[in-house]
Amino acid sequence: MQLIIDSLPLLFSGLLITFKLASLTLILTAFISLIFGIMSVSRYKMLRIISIVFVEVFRDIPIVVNLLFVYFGAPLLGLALDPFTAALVSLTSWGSANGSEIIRGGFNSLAKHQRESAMALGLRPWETMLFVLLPQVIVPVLPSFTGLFSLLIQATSLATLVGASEFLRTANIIVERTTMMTGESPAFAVFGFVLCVYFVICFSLNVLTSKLERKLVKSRTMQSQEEKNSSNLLKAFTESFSALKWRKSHD
Amino acid sequence: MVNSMSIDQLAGSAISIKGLSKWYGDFKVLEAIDLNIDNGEKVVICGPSGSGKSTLIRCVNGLEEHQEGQIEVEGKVLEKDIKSISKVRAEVGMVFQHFNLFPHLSILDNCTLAPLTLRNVSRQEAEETAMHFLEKVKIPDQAHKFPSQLSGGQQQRVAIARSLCMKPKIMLFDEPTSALDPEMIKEVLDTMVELAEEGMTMICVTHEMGFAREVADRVIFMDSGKVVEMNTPENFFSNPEHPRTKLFLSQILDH
Repeated sequence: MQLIIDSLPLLFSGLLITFKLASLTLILTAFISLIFGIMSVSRYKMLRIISIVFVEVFRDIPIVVNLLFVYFGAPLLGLALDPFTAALVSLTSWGSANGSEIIRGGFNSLAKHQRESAMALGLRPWETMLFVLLPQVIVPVLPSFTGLFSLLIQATSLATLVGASEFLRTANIIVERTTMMTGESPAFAVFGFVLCVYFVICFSLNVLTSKLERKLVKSRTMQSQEEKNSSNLLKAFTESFSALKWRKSHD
Repeated sequence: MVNSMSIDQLAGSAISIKGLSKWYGDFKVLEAIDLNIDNGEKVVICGPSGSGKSTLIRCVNGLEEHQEGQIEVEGKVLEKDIKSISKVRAEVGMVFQHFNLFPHLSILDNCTLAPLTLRNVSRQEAEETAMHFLEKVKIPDQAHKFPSQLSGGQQQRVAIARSLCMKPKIMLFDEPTSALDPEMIKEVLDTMVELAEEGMTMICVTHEMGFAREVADRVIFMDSGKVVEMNTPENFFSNPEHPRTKLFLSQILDH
């Protein structure tokens, strides 16, 4: 315990770097996810392809491998990245790939007629996106994004692998140094402390967003009712007509 | 009738469709459709499911692309580029089967969104216009509610008001009453009749034959992507020319 208190300044500096890494990662991830998510439902095939390639490439590579590749691979391309930037780049690319997939799912779950009726009013595609589609997508994707953000915060600890002096690495240094100096390993206490800190951070993030979510959902409960309503109507309709033919005439 | 005649004489055709064909893959949904609709004219299109009637009116405002033929709306040829399509759409109101109100916006905001975005109007002006049309469809008191708080019939009337806020010259109705409970059909039809009486050019895809009889200048019967019969409502109902029309009418009027 005394050891932890003694090394608090060091741990704190590590925690600060973790916070910096996490917040930059989350901001960039949110931003880039949005861009690629919107691209994935674009009218232009080229943009959709770019988005799909980006998502598939970064989603299918483990973050650790990605991180090592960026850190050790970038110098070969003439870009020497410091550990912090390398971690930021790899975490953001992994997060954005998953985030844009979440946003694409959000768009797909929106009824097709929302886009159509906006366009029928004469709204141009970007106006339809901004005023009609996007506002309806943001709230439903919040829970998935909280999950992703929580994962990303936890994944910042991977930056220790390339030597970024973030929280986990400072803890590691303390453990190693103390073991060498005293011959006794304080690993259990120190890493236990680290564990608790990560837990507190992610847990409070989850609580915070679920509160925000509840607030937002409250103002929109009417919406879910409407969805139920319209699906009932649809059912009644397709029962009285032939479902197949109806689709044909509308698709 | 006298009213619409005089409007006809004043101006040319609102919509002119020539040789319109459309395929979904190998399936031909529309086959060489020719149709002229004059300003102020009301046309009802009916036909069995899958006959292409919805597709036809969705082609008119570019929601569906056609492969062959030409569509002119108010003298402007419908091009493929999104800018010209958007311009045509702003002149052509469309009401859908499932109302399609924007659930995240209040009734008033639903009505002002397009005018505020596309027309050069102040918020106050847009809201006044919106209230004017909401009064017209008889739901001004619901203006600050959200779509899901309204009944289906009310939502559909809002959808009509929302289209009218863009002050369109032509209104398209795609089975506007098909998704409604029976007791709500009348209120929507009443609104449409009122609109027709004011001289709006209208194309309605509907199975409401009473509405067709009362309002339509022409009734079109479509089957398998073709216009089978085009007639005045009197002849259409009492003396249909085509056997396919007779069969359809006997099926639809039975219940």
